[in-house]
Amino acid sequence: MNDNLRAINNIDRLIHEPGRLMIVAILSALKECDFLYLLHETQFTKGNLSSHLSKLEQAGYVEIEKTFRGKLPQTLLRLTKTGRSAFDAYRRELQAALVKHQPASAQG
Amino acid sequence: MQTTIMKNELSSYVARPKRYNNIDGTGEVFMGLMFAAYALVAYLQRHVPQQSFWSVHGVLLMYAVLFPVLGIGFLFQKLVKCHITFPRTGYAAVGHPEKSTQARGVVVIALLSGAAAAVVAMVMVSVLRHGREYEWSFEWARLAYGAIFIGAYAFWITRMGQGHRWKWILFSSQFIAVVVLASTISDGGGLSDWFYPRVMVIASATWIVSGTVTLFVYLREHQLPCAQ
Repeated sequence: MNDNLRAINNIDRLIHEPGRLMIVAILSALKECDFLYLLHETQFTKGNLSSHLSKLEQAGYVEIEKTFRGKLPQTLLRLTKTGRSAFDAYRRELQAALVKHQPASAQG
Repeated sequence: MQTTIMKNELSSYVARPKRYNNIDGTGEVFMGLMFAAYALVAYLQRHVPQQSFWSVHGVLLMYAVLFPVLGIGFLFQKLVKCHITFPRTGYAAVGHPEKSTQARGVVVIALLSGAAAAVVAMVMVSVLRHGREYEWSFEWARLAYGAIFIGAYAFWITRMGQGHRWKWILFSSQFIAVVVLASTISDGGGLSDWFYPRVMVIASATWIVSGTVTLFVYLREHQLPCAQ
């Protein structure tokens, strides 16, 4: 297999899933946010979002903190250092793969 | 193909949280209040009696007006966010957990303000030294101020106001108002001293109206989620 193609195979599959990629991309621009904000931004169902967040938490990419805002429960979400560096690496790898494999029409 | 689409989507998702800060229009209302404060300072500086305390200490007058108005702006922003925005569409703190973007923003604003003040000071010194023959440069400085105030709103719309096309109508109204003001206020072929504060009043009204309409649209589109 060509080395360039092999690089695509090394992309982090946990982040590569579109739903989780959206979550990690949003979290990467934030210090923290709550569950409601992510629900609003992603337009996922609560179950779907919880499932994705659980997978990211298990991998150590996202930190989930249950707290209270006044008397209301609030779930705070943050991207961990590991998650941030995994996302940075993912972006770099994806960028490199796309540059190496531009379609003929784009190459002129 | 799917990966290319994802790459573009990725950039848009990374940019979304910044736009969220003004989803309720509070950023615009805050800017409007700031311009109103500057206009008020300009008005007061022309109306305080000569040799009075406020006339001698003009900078204190500026702080005496600016700080309370900015305080009201912060309070308004906090109240709207806590009682309207966060319960409806959630809480989000923009920035990097380890880098203080707020401190960086303050440094950038301080540097830009310093540069703008230096340019204005140079123009004023030039006018004072060379008399009326250089007065045209003062006129251009005022016109440049007008252009900056108008341009700032256009820049804001392109960066933060996506999805609100009506803001371009407001921008056009602001532009027309400033052009009409520039053409009617001229005295002896130049713009009077009143041009600058009046432009700020127009800018202030534009930003406050824009923010208020944005808040109204937000309230109409986002209901409080039902309690589980």
